[in-house]
Amino acid sequence: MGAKVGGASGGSMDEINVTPLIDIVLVLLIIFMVITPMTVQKLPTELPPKDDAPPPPPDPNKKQLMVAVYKDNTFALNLQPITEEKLRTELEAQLKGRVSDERNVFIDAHPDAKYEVVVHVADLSREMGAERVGFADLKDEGPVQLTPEQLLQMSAPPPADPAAPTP
Amino acid sequence: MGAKVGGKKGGAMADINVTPLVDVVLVLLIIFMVITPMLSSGVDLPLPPAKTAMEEKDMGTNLVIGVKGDGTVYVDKKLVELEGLIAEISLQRKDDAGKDRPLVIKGDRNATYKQFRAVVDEIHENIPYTDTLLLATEKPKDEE
Repeated sequence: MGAKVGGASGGSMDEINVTPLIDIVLVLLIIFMVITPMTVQKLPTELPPKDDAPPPPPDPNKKQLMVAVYKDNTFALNLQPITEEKLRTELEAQLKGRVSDERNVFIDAHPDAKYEVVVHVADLSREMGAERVGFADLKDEGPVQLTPEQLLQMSAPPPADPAAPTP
Repeated sequence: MGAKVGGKKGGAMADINVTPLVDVVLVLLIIFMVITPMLSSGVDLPLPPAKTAMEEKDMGTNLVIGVKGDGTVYVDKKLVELEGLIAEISLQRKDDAGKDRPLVIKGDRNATYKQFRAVVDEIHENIPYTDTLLLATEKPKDEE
Protein backbone atom coordinates (compact mmCIF):
# COMPACT_ATOMS: atom_id res chain seq x y z
CA MET A 1 0.00 0.00 0.00
CA GLY A 2 1.31 3.36 -0.92
CA ALA A 3 4.49 1.96 -2.45
CA LYS A 4 5.94 4.05 -5.27
CA VAL A 5 5.74 2.35 -8.60
CA GLY A 6 6.01 5.27 -11.04
CA GLY A 7 9.26 6.59 -12.39
CA ALA A 8 11.39 9.19 -10.73
CA SER A 9 10.04 12.09 -12.74
CA GLY A 10 6.56 13.15 -11.49
CA GLY A 11 3.36 13.40 -13.49
CA SER A 12 0.70 10.66 -13.10
CA MET A 13 0.63 9.05 -9.63
CA ASP A 14 0.56 5.27 -9.48
CA GLU A 15 -0.19 5.07 -5.72
CA ILE A 16 -3.43 3.46 -4.57
CA ASN A 17 -5.69 6.14 -3.18
CA VAL A 18 -6.26 4.95 0.39
CA THR A 19 -8.39 7.87 1.55
CA PRO A 20 -11.79 6.17 0.85
CA LEU A 21 -10.53 3.03 2.58
CA ILE A 22 -9.63 5.01 5.67
CA ASP A 23 -13.02 6.72 5.57
CA ILE A 24 -14.87 3.43 5.49
CA VAL A 25 -12.74 1.84 8.18
CA LEU A 26 -13.13 4.85 10.48
CA VAL A 27 -16.89 4.81 10.01
CA LEU A 28 -16.97 1.07 10.79
CA LEU A 29 -14.89 1.71 13.87
CA ILE A 30 -17.29 4.40 15.06
CA ILE A 31 -20.29 2.13 14.39
CA PHE A 32 -18.75 -0.60 16.50
CA MET A 33 -17.90 1.83 19.29
CA VAL A 34 -21.51 3.03 19.35
CA ILE A 35 -23.01 -0.45 19.25
CA THR A 36 -20.76 -1.83 21.97
CA PRO A 37 -22.85 -0.69 24.99
CA MET A 38 -25.41 -3.26 24.00
CA THR A 39 -29.00 -3.69 25.03
CA VAL A 40 -30.62 -6.32 27.21
CA GLN A 41 -34.08 -7.61 26.44
CA LYS A 42 -36.02 -8.44 29.58
CA LEU A 43 -39.25 -10.36 29.72
CA PRO A 44 -41.11 -9.94 33.03
CA THR A 45 -42.74 -13.06 34.49
CA GLU A 46 -44.16 -13.98 37.88
CA LEU A 47 -43.61 -16.83 40.29
CA PRO A 48 -46.27 -18.22 42.60
CA PRO A 49 -46.17 -16.78 46.13
CA LYS A 50 -44.00 -18.61 48.62
CA ASP A 51 -45.19 -21.70 50.43
CA ASP A 52 -46.10 -20.01 53.71
CA ALA A 53 -48.77 -17.99 51.96
CA PRO A 54 -51.50 -20.37 50.83
CA PRO A 55 -52.47 -19.94 47.18
CA PRO A 56 -55.69 -18.01 46.74
CA PRO A 57 -58.57 -20.30 45.81
CA PRO A 58 -59.43 -20.16 42.12
CA ASP A 59 -62.24 -17.72 41.61
CA PRO A 60 -64.97 -19.47 39.66
CA ASN A 61 -66.14 -16.19 38.16
CA LYS A 62 -62.82 -15.32 36.62
CA LYS A 63 -61.90 -17.80 33.99
CA GLN A 64 -58.35 -18.80 34.62
CA LEU A 65 -56.13 -19.30 31.61
CA MET A 66 -53.72 -22.13 32.25
CA VAL A 67 -51.42 -23.05 29.41
CA ALA A 68 -49.76 -26.42 29.83
CA VAL A 69 -46.50 -27.19 28.05
CA TYR A 70 -45.95 -30.93 27.84
CA LYS A 71 -42.78 -32.96 27.65
CA ASP A 72 -43.01 -33.16 23.86
CA ASN A 73 -43.34 -29.35 23.74
CA THR A 74 -47.00 -29.46 22.75
CA PHE A 75 -49.54 -27.17 24.39
CA ALA A 76 -52.89 -27.34 26.09
CA LEU A 77 -55.15 -24.51 27.17
CA ASN A 78 -57.14 -25.38 30.29
CA LEU A 79 -56.37 -29.06 29.65
CA GLN A 80 -57.59 -29.02 26.07
CA PRO A 81 -54.74 -29.85 23.67
CA ILE A 82 -54.29 -27.01 21.24
CA THR A 83 -52.00 -25.98 18.40
CA GLU A 84 -49.91 -22.85 18.66
CA GLU A 85 -52.01 -21.11 16.04
CA LYS A 86 -55.24 -21.91 17.89
CA LEU A 87 -53.67 -20.97 21.21
CA ARG A 88 -52.93 -17.51 19.87
CA THR A 89 -56.45 -16.84 18.65
CA GLU A 90 -58.00 -18.40 21.74
CA LEU A 91 -55.88 -16.37 24.15
CA GLU A 92 -56.57 -13.20 22.22
CA ALA A 93 -60.30 -13.85 22.28
CA GLN A 94 -60.31 -14.71 25.99
CA LEU A 95 -58.12 -11.82 27.10
CA LYS A 96 -59.93 -9.21 25.07
CA GLY A 97 -62.41 -7.21 27.11
CA ARG A 98 -60.96 -8.21 30.46
CA VAL A 99 -59.87 -5.56 32.90
CA SER A 100 -56.14 -5.28 33.39
CA ASP A 101 -56.17 -7.14 36.73
CA GLU A 102 -57.65 -10.20 35.09
CA ARG A 103 -55.45 -10.40 32.05
CA ASN A 104 -53.33 -13.16 33.54
CA VAL A 105 -51.96 -16.28 31.92
CA PHE A 106 -50.43 -19.13 33.88
CA ILE A 107 -47.90 -21.47 32.43
CA ASP A 108 -47.62 -24.98 33.78
CA ALA A 109 -44.71 -26.67 32.07
CA HIS A 110 -43.29 -30.16 32.29
CA PRO A 111 -39.81 -30.31 33.88
CA ASP A 112 -38.37 -31.70 30.65
CA ALA A 113 -40.00 -29.12 28.39
CA LYS A 114 -37.59 -26.85 26.58
CA TYR A 115 -36.95 -23.50 28.24
CA GLU A 116 -37.15 -21.83 24.84
CA VAL A 117 -40.67 -23.14 24.32
CA VAL A 118 -41.77 -21.96 27.77
CA VAL A 119 -40.42 -18.49 27.09
CA HIS A 120 -42.12 -18.57 23.72
CA VAL A 121 -45.48 -19.26 25.36
CA ALA A 122 -44.90 -16.43 27.83
CA ASP A 123 -44.02 -14.16 24.94
CA LEU A 124 -47.01 -15.03 22.82
CA SER A 125 -49.33 -14.63 25.82
CA ARG A 126 -48.03 -11.13 26.31
CA GLU A 127 -48.33 -10.51 22.60
CA MET A 128 -51.98 -11.56 22.76
CA GLY A 129 -52.68 -9.09 25.55
CA ALA A 130 -51.74 -10.77 28.83
CA GLU A 131 -50.72 -8.28 31.48
CA ARG A 132 -49.01 -10.80 33.72
CA VAL A 133 -47.55 -14.18 32.89
CA GLY A 134 -47.04 -16.47 35.84
CA PHE A 135 -45.40 -19.82 36.29
CA ALA A 136 -47.29 -22.47 38.18
CA ASP A 137 -45.57 -24.53 40.84
CA LEU A 138 -43.29 -27.13 39.32
CA LYS A 139 -44.62 -30.66 39.56
CA ASP A 140 -42.29 -33.59 39.00
CA GLU A 141 -44.81 -35.35 36.79
CA GLY A 142 -45.57 -32.20 34.83
CA PRO A 143 -48.96 -30.70 34.06
CA VAL A 144 -52.06 -32.84 34.03
CA GLN A 145 -52.38 -34.45 30.64
CA LEU A 146 -55.76 -35.92 29.85
CA THR A 147 -56.06 -39.19 28.03
CA PRO A 148 -58.06 -39.23 24.79
CA GLU A 149 -60.95 -40.94 26.62
CA GLN A 150 -61.07 -38.26 29.30
CA LEU A 151 -60.99 -35.60 26.61
CA LEU A 152 -63.92 -37.22 24.85
CA GLN A 153 -65.84 -37.24 28.11
CA MET A 154 -64.99 -33.60 28.75
CA SER A 155 -65.85 -32.36 25.31
CA ALA A 156 -69.28 -34.01 25.36
CA PRO A 157 -70.75 -33.70 28.87
CA PRO A 158 -74.35 -33.44 27.67
CA PRO A 159 -75.04 -36.43 25.46
CA ALA A 160 -75.42 -34.46 22.29
CA ASP A 161 -77.15 -35.85 19.30
CA PRO A 162 -74.36 -37.34 17.23
CA ALA A 163 -76.52 -37.50 14.11
CA ALA A 164 -76.90 -33.75 13.81
CA PRO A 165 -73.84 -32.32 12.07
CA THR A 166 -74.21 -28.58 12.07
CA PRO A 167 -73.01 -26.89 8.93
CA MET B 1 -4.94 13.65 3.85
CA GLY B 2 -2.86 12.54 0.96
CA ALA B 3 -3.06 15.95 -0.73
CA LYS B 4 -0.10 16.75 -2.91
CA VAL B 5 1.92 19.64 -1.65
CA GLY B 6 5.27 19.19 -3.40
CA GLY B 7 6.14 20.61 -6.79
CA LYS B 8 5.40 18.93 -10.07
CA LYS B 9 8.86 17.58 -10.48
CA GLY B 10 9.37 14.33 -8.54
CA GLY B 11 11.95 13.76 -5.86
CA ALA B 12 10.91 14.24 -2.21
CA MET B 13 7.29 13.24 -1.53
CA ALA B 14 5.38 15.67 0.64
CA ASP B 15 2.26 13.55 1.23
CA ILE B 16 1.51 12.13 4.64
CA ASN B 17 2.31 8.47 4.88
CA VAL B 18 -1.07 7.02 5.89
CA THR B 19 -0.05 3.37 5.99
CA PRO B 20 0.66 3.29 9.77
CA LEU B 21 -2.65 5.07 10.40
CA VAL B 22 -4.49 2.46 8.40
CA ASP B 23 -2.68 -0.27 10.30
CA VAL B 24 -3.63 1.17 13.66
CA VAL B 25 -7.25 1.76 12.71
CA LEU B 26 -7.63 -1.73 11.26
CA VAL B 27 -6.20 -3.26 14.41
CA LEU B 28 -8.59 -1.19 16.56
CA LEU B 29 -11.46 -2.33 14.38
CA ILE B 30 -10.50 -5.97 14.80
CA ILE B 31 -10.11 -5.53 18.56
CA PHE B 32 -13.62 -4.07 18.79
CA MET B 33 -15.08 -6.83 16.62
CA VAL B 34 -13.54 -9.44 18.89
CA ILE B 35 -14.46 -7.73 22.17
CA THR B 36 -18.03 -6.79 21.32
CA PRO B 37 -19.64 -10.21 21.93
CA MET B 38 -17.72 -10.57 25.20
CA LEU B 39 -18.93 -7.31 26.66
CA SER B 40 -22.54 -8.28 27.33
CA SER B 41 -23.30 -8.89 30.99
CA GLY B 42 -23.16 -12.42 32.23
CA VAL B 43 -22.04 -15.57 30.54
CA ASP B 44 -22.34 -15.89 26.76
CA LEU B 45 -25.14 -18.25 25.74
CA PRO B 46 -27.88 -18.55 23.13
CA LEU B 47 -30.95 -16.69 24.40
CA PRO B 48 -34.55 -17.55 23.60
CA PRO B 49 -36.26 -15.10 21.25
CA ALA B 50 -39.17 -12.94 22.44
CA LYS B 51 -41.07 -10.13 20.78
CA THR B 52 -42.64 -8.48 23.81
CA ALA B 53 -39.54 -8.06 25.96
CA MET B 54 -38.63 -4.65 27.36
CA GLU B 55 -35.43 -3.28 25.92
CA GLU B 56 -32.88 -1.38 27.93
CA LYS B 57 -29.26 -0.38 27.58
CA ASP B 58 -26.90 -2.89 29.09
CA MET B 59 -24.92 -0.66 31.42
CA GLY B 60 -23.87 -3.55 33.64
CA THR B 61 -26.36 -2.58 36.34
CA ASN B 62 -28.15 -5.92 36.31
CA LEU B 63 -26.84 -8.91 38.15
CA VAL B 64 -27.15 -11.64 35.58
CA ILE B 65 -27.73 -15.24 36.62
CA GLY B 66 -26.85 -17.55 33.76
CA VAL B 67 -28.27 -21.04 33.31
CA LYS B 68 -26.48 -22.96 30.61
CA GLY B 69 -27.89 -25.84 28.62
CA ASP B 70 -25.83 -28.35 30.59
CA GLY B 71 -27.38 -27.09 33.83
CA THR B 72 -24.37 -25.17 35.07
CA VAL B 73 -25.15 -21.92 36.88
CA TYR B 74 -23.25 -18.65 36.61
CA VAL B 75 -23.46 -15.48 38.66
CA ASP B 76 -22.36 -12.84 36.19
CA LYS B 77 -19.42 -14.72 34.62
CA LYS B 78 -18.54 -16.86 37.63
CA LEU B 79 -19.43 -20.54 37.70
CA VAL B 80 -21.21 -21.51 40.94
CA GLU B 81 -22.82 -24.58 42.40
CA LEU B 82 -26.55 -24.37 43.09
CA GLU B 83 -25.78 -24.56 46.82
CA GLY B 84 -23.46 -21.59 46.62
CA LEU B 85 -25.74 -19.55 44.40
CA ILE B 86 -27.42 -17.49 47.09
CA ALA B 87 -24.13 -16.71 48.83
CA GLU B 88 -22.58 -15.55 45.57
CA ILE B 89 -25.61 -13.44 44.69
CA SER B 90 -25.62 -11.66 48.04
CA LEU B 91 -21.90 -11.08 47.59
CA GLN B 92 -22.37 -9.37 44.23
CA ARG B 93 -25.83 -7.90 44.72
CA LYS B 94 -24.96 -4.44 46.01
CA ASP B 95 -24.00 -1.75 43.55
CA ASP B 96 -21.62 1.11 44.29
CA ALA B 97 -24.38 3.09 45.95
CA GLY B 98 -25.20 0.16 48.22
CA LYS B 99 -28.48 -0.60 46.51
CA ASP B 100 -29.63 -4.02 45.33
CA ARG B 101 -29.04 -4.61 41.64
CA PRO B 102 -31.96 -6.03 39.67
CA LEU B 103 -31.65 -9.74 39.01
CA VAL B 104 -31.94 -10.94 35.45
CA ILE B 105 -32.20 -14.64 34.65
CA LYS B 106 -30.31 -15.48 31.49
CA GLY B 107 -31.42 -18.94 30.49
CA ASP B 108 -29.96 -20.93 27.63
CA ARG B 109 -32.64 -21.59 25.03
CA ASN B 110 -31.57 -25.22 25.03
CA ALA B 111 -31.94 -25.61 28.78
CA THR B 112 -34.87 -27.58 30.14
CA TYR B 113 -37.60 -25.99 32.20
CA LYS B 114 -36.41 -28.04 35.17
CA GLN B 115 -32.91 -26.53 35.05
CA PHE B 116 -34.37 -23.07 34.84
CA ARG B 117 -36.81 -23.65 37.69
CA ALA B 118 -34.14 -25.15 39.94
CA VAL B 119 -32.26 -21.85 39.83
CA VAL B 120 -35.32 -19.62 39.92
CA ASP B 121 -36.94 -21.47 42.82
CA GLU B 122 -33.70 -21.34 44.77
CA ILE B 123 -33.61 -17.58 44.31
CA HIS B 124 -37.30 -17.17 45.03
CA GLU B 125 -37.07 -19.20 48.24
CA ASN B 126 -34.16 -17.30 49.67
CA ILE B 127 -34.22 -13.77 48.35
CA PRO B 128 -37.10 -11.42 49.17
CA TYR B 129 -39.01 -9.48 46.51
CA THR B 130 -38.32 -11.97 43.74
CA ASP B 131 -41.92 -12.74 42.81
CA THR B 132 -41.34 -10.95 39.54
CA LEU B 133 -38.58 -12.31 37.39
CA LEU B 134 -36.85 -10.72 34.46
CA LEU B 135 -35.86 -13.22 31.82
CA ALA B 136 -33.18 -12.23 29.36
CA THR B 137 -34.27 -12.80 25.78
CA GLU B 138 -33.16 -11.65 22.36
CA LYS B 139 -34.94 -10.04 19.46
CA PRO B 140 -36.35 -12.65 17.11
CA LYS B 141 -34.23 -12.82 14.00
CA ASP B 142 -36.92 -13.92 11.55
CA GLU B 143 -39.14 -10.84 11.70
CA GLU B 144 -41.49 -10.61 8.78
